[in-house]
Amino acid sequence: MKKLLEVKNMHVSIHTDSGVIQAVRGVSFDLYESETLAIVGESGSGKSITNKAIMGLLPVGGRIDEGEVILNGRDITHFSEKEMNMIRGAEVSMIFQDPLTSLNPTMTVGDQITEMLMLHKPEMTAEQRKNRALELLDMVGIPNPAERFGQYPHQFSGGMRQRVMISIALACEPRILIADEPTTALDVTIQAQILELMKKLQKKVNTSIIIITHNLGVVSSMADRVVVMYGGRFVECGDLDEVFYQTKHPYTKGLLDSIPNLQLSDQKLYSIPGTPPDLISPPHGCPFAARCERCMKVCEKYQPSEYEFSQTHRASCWLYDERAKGGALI
Amino acid sequence: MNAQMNIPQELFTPAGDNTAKQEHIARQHHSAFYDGWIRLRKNKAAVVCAVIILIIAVMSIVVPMTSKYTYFDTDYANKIAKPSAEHPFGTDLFGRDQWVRIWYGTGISLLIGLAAALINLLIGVFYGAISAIMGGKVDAIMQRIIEVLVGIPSLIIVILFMMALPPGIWTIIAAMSVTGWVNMARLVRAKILNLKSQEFVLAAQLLGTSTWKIILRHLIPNTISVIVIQVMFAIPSAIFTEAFLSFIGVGLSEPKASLGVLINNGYKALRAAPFLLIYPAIAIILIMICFSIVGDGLRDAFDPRMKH
Amino acid sequence: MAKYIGKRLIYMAVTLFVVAALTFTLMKILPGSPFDEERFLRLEEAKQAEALARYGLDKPVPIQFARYIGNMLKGDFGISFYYTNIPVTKVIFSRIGPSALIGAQAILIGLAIGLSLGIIAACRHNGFIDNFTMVLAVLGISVPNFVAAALLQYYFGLKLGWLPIGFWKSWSCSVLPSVALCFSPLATCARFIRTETLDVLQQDYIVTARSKGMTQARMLIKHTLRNSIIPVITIMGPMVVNLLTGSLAVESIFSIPGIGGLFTESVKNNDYNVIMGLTMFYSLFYMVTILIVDVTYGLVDPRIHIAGEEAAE
Repeated sequence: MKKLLEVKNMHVSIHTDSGVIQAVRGVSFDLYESETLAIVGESGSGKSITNKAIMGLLPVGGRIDEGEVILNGRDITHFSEKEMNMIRGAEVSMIFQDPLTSLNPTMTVGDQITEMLMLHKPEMTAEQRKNRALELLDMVGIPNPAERFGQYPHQFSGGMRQRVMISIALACEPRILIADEPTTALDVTIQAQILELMKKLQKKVNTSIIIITHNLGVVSSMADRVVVMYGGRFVECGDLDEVFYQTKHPYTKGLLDSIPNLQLSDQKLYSIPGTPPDLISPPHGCPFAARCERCMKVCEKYQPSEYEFSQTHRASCWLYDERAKGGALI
Repeated sequence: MNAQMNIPQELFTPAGDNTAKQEHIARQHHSAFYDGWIRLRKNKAAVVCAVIILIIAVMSIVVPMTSKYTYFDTDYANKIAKPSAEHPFGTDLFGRDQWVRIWYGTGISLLIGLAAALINLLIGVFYGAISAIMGGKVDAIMQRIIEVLVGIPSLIIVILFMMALPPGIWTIIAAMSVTGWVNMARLVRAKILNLKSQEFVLAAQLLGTSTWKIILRHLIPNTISVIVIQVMFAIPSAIFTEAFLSFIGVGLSEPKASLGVLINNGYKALRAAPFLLIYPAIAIILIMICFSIVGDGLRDAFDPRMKH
Repeated sequence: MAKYIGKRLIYMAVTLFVVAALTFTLMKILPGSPFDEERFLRLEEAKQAEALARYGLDKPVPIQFARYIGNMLKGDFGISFYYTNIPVTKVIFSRIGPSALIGAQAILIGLAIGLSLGIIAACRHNGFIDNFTMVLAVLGISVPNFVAAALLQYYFGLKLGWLPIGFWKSWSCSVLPSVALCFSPLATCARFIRTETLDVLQQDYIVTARSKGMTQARMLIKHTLRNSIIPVITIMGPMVVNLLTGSLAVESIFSIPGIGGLFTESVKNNDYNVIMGLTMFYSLFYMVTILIVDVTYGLVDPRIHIAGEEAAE
């Protein structure tokens, strides 16, 4: 399979009034053609920032300190705004967590879809653009596209707005779709519909998806491969089965254990004790050390190296060092 | 990687109990009020302006008391004297010492501003609070009254009042209080309605806390920031109104002085003695700027979501 | 929509009635009638009574009020005491032109400069223009318009002699008063649009727009300004009111034959009928402006779908 996107050793910091947040500290992953990669972590783990950095859409004060983003063989890390604009929307597009706030409230839905075509398909006529927009609305399952075309976002429900967002994102058939918690703000029943829709369209448009989420249910139903992040660092990655059934990192294990299980309803739900680290003054060692049940002295002082378990499966944890005897016990 | 190979073997042993560290929250958490206070103190412009206001207030009391001149003693031998060591801001058309008159006038203006703002506060807070807490029909009627009142161009009505009532400081204050409280009432009502719908008030109700306790413990402390901010904007607005009234000739009358009276006198003598206009103008501008910056600072610090 | 406007019109009628009653009462307790000055006292008793009767001032107060309201509904506000025998409406209408010119110029300058500065300030947040704009905004809000007018008159009129002061002959006479009046709308606008734009720039839909791959300019015009400029309509009401009251002092400073100057004059001359007429005129103008502003906002902003209902809040 062809490697579409390569993120190498990315470091992102965000300069704010209260200090410099080390949001991402050395994260690497690859994305292959027409696969779905899930990036998993709690809020503040750096997963959203990583993807905003790929798109060059970091918030004010944010910058990539180190690392490379390679898209289709080109290093786009230092691309100019103009060059990035050729990529955004055309090759990589994004959908966001909150469909209520992600659409421009004073622009009709139709205009927001055709705008994408106007930007990247200047050869299309106004009529072609409109027809394409109607086609897209229909494709994402919005009834009555002709009537909906001229309406404003507030006239749509949350789920419908997310469908509109998807239609905008897919308008130019991008190679990569980054979905940042696309279902978090939606009702559970709508969540499943939106995920189904994304899977359906992925085949149709033949795009790769990076789905950012903290919901392991979403991961298991969507992803081919998984990257787990914690405290701005890489934790574990691998095929879905490897990460779910041959879990290596104690954090991933903790995440999986805290999924409510219907069969074992009398058991107390597991939760990982403690809170994520403050990224203004991140810990020197493994960011998870303070909450880890199997923490060793070394974990508090040194960032663990990455250990490979298969061609695809890697984890960053000292337990797998040959000097740690307990490693195999996990 | 090589550096990592040198990590000594003994570190690869369990770290022991780390529960204490797990609940460690790196950034200190404070009450909203404390956070606001910190934000306010960081706003240097606001702090400086607050200090300037205090100094001006103190000077406006001390200078007229300690100076050998008074604000009303005339000295026709020394009319329109240019600023000098004897009269730092010169003398006016009647030979009165402008330095003392400006400080005296500043004091009167500040007094009027403060008194008008406080009266508006009292009426507005009571009206708004009663309206919001009672709700239902009472609220509906009280809101209709407000809707009628907001249609009145207040400055015009204030001018009419000033014409009809005997001139004096308290007339000005009373005239400004006729419609001045409406804004405060609306803000307080909106804030209380907003608080009433919030979960912590509901929680208190569910726990069986009495209505009065909820008002005292929750509503009042949470409304105070809105009130204080509104007062900080009401004071300069009242100072402006007074100056305006005195300037068009329906405010205070001679020999009493306020900044408005002084500006009016200075304006009349503009050709002969521009300094008679410029010093009181600087005084009022300085006061207005300071209040406006302190007001903005307070708003940014305590109610960041309240824009404009 | 029609229902909403109807409701507002009823409020307006009630407010106007309250204003009329208030004005009338105040006028009645005013010290001295317009005739108690030298002119009136020189008349014989019989002539005095005749004069009072001619103006209906001999009747009981409630009847005077009822008659006043009745006449008012017919558009008759009586005649000016000062400009003898000229109807109040005529006096007022003859004065609207200069005020409208100055007011319109002040608003236009204020909007043009205020909006541009505010928008640039927001885009270059914490930059030089931002700081400059904030200083200007604080000054514009803090410097009372009559102080600004007096200082402008002194420096540009008297000292430098660049522009005429104190008469009304050509367009150039309107420059200084317009400038004096524009500070407040300029400052209000700049502040408002700056905060509003900064707020919009942080919205999620701006990230969406950027993720579509458009230029900064397009993002700013199509997505930011559209959302930040619409609410400017809401401050137009207070701005117009500020201008009205500002014009009271500024017009008398520059001796402009406008309604602001007329009001100040009438206050000094105890010209009751003109004062009442102007008060009603101002109130009506104020309320109509606010109504228009609210309705326009409801129509222009697609987010306010029950047109006006939310704008009224």
